[in-house]
Amino acid sequence: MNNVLIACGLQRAYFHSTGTRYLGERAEVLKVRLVEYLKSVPKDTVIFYVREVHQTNDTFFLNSKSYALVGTPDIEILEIFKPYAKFIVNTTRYSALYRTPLESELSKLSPKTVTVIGVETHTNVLFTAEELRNMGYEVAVPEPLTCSEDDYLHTAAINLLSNTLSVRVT
Amino acid sequence: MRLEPLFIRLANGSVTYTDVVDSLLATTTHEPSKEIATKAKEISVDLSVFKRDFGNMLQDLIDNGINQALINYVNSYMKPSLEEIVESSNGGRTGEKRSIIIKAADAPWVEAVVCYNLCLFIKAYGIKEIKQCAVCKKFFTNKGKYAVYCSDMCKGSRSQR
Repeated sequence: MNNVLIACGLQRAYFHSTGTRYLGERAEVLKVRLVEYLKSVPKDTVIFYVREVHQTNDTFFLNSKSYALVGTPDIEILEIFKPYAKFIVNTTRYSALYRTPLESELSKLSPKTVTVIGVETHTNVLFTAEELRNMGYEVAVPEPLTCSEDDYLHTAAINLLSNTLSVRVT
Repeated sequence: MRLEPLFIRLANGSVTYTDVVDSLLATTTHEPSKEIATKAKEISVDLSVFKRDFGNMLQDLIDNGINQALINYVNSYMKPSLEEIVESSNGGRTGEKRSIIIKAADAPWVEAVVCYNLCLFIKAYGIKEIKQCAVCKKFFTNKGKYAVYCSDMCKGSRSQR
């Protein structure tokens, strides 16, 4: 039985200074932590990267600034993260399981625990964890390996994960 | 009777994991890919979740046309798994030969082969030739622009009501 790690949003949109939703200092701190963590992940852990790739006319994001649009540098995975991914999944929504191959791949692996890391805590991490819980997976979220553009939203998401979704927050 | 393309048969549940592997073995000349496919025949992978998701994607394709979710889905499978080789004897697009090679044995290449088959079909015939039967909900292709039913039996059962 494998362990699975899902890393959300490790793309230029959030982590590069030219990214549309660059998270500034938070991104720089998280970059260092994430690389250290990814280096130390046991070999039997299967790592999936999930990146957002949005259609230009997607009305789902009507109330937020357009980002991660198809064909823009926003969607590129940062070079420093590239060596650790087994499989890069593109999604059009916050949930990594919405119309993506991830559910099918997870069903092949039957993981004991699925760990979710990355950005942002209140969007990709929260909604991915929620759907994984719905499917009956045990989910873990190491808090220092996640962040949001806003501390309030980050804390709210961590509370929801921990208290409402029974996710193991460490 | 004309055989439907591989992706249609898979979405309709009439082909298995082994059938997809066999279809690749029958077409590829790339030795390492053949080796990977031959080894894969010894194990069996459950494709039921993929079949369900792929069927939903096809339905979405019929209803809404090509959209980013479909492109993301197909890309997620194909990019890590397959590489397409296009050979043309005269340098033009007429008479070109396409083949695929498997990039990595641990990548989801079986699913990628099905997605590649869908892409080839769209390239050759367009999306309007992919349809879903109004009666039995099975997918079918190439029965004409206005076709609604997959077979005479379905057509007959609808007209009897």
